[in-house]
Amino acid sequence: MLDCTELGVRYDALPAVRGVTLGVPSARIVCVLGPNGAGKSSLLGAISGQVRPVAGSIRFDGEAIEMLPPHAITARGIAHVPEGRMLFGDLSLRENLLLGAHNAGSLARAADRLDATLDAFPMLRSRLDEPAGMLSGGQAQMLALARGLMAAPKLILLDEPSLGLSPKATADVFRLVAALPARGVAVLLVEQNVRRALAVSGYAYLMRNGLFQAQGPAAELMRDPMVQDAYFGDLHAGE
Amino acid sequence: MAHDLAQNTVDGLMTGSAYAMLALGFTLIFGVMRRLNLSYGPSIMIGAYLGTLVHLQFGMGAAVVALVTVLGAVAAGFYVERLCFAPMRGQAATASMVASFAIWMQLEELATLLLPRHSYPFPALIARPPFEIAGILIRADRLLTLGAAIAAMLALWLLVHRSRFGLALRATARDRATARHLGIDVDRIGLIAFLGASALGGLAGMLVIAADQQITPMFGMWATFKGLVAMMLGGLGSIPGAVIGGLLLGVVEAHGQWFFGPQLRDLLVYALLFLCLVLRAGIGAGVPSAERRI
Repeated sequence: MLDCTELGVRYDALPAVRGVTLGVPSARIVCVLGPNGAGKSSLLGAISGQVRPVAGSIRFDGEAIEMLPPHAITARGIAHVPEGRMLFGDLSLRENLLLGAHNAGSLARAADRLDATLDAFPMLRSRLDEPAGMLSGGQAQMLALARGLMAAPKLILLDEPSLGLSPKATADVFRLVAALPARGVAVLLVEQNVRRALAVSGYAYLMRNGLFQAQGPAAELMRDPMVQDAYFGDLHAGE
Repeated sequence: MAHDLAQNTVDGLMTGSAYAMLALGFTLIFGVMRRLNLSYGPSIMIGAYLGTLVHLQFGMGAAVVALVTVLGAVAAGFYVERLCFAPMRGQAATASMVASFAIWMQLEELATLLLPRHSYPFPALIARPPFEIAGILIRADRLLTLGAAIAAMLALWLLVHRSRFGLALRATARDRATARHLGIDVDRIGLIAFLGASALGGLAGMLVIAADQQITPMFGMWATFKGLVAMMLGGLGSIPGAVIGGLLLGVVEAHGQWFFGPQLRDLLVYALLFLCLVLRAGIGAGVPSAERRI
């Protein structure tokens, strides 16, 4: 469904992504793993149109989208949940969620989506009128996820959803992510928590210095001794 | 004495409602873009000049002139946005402000080229003598200004707090990057807010000029000044603040004019503004200005 070919991103003179090729099939979870500064967030930013790639192409459902502005990409069914959650702290949970459904075209349709989305997030439903700034880290991440799903995406880009969360909240987040394909949503997951990410993913790419160093089915990578050394050792990615 | 106070207060509220509308337009632009548009008043002046032109050349009545004024202000606002704000998004806010000052000069030149005399007549919307309620003299056209201001404020409030556009507007005002992430076309939101502000300003300017029944090139500076002071009195960037600031400015001016004369009136306004800025720095130290959002 998503196909990136030889994608390159640079900030001024600094290359962040140096020609990567990746695919995400519909209703599957694919993850990109790697240390800080590997270029993972830049990759997601290029896909959702936040930064314009300097090289390569991005096709979504067969259509070239690399030159489209972000709102046009969201309209085609790609939602991006950025790193650090980026909630509007003084707006209510309801307002944050409705903003996620901006591509629905009207507040009434956004409200319909709200009701359907909240079924998977019962803990948010009772607090809809509270400001988002009152939430704990785990709850805030849930809200960010729910806000991403409010766009009714075919593909959701998740940037470090477990960053800074307690083990319990991390488990909750990954349980939700693992359930997304069953709802028809494909996931491109960027993570530093290698074990957890591989456990929910079907396919994985290992990224370093803007390049993919290895890729393969997640189950195989998990057993690969080279991967064990390079990615499990220095990432503090245990439970 | 009590009667003077009451009369001044009523007069001040009526004038202040026009200031409040000017401040609302300023606030809409500042709230969303965090940028000052010094060409705000001059854009309104251009609209009023076009209205006067239609009046002089074609003998059009007040309703058509009013419409031309508002539409002219929106067109001038569009020109300012494309020239000073659209090309400099995400860059230094000062660049937009300085550019808008240059456009101010340009618009004033344009006005004097269009109609070279110092002042021109502008048709009154309501030409009837003032009436009296409980001993207070009230001008019908000022009352109309007050009514229009109340309607405009309610409409703006509903738009901002009860519509999809308003929600997107508030998101953009808080964090452009996040709004972009959510698929909001922030550039379009900014442009629409800008045009809406120009329409609001055009309406306010038209009501003021129709009450004065004349227009001069100085109106641009006057409108920018009044709108800016009212917005600052109300604490930059909030809708209720702009309304309160505008009304406060009107009432203080009316009392100042009556009791101290025109020179001291303006001095009084500056003193009040100074006091507000100083107190805000003192009391509001814990509240960053970024928290006061539309």
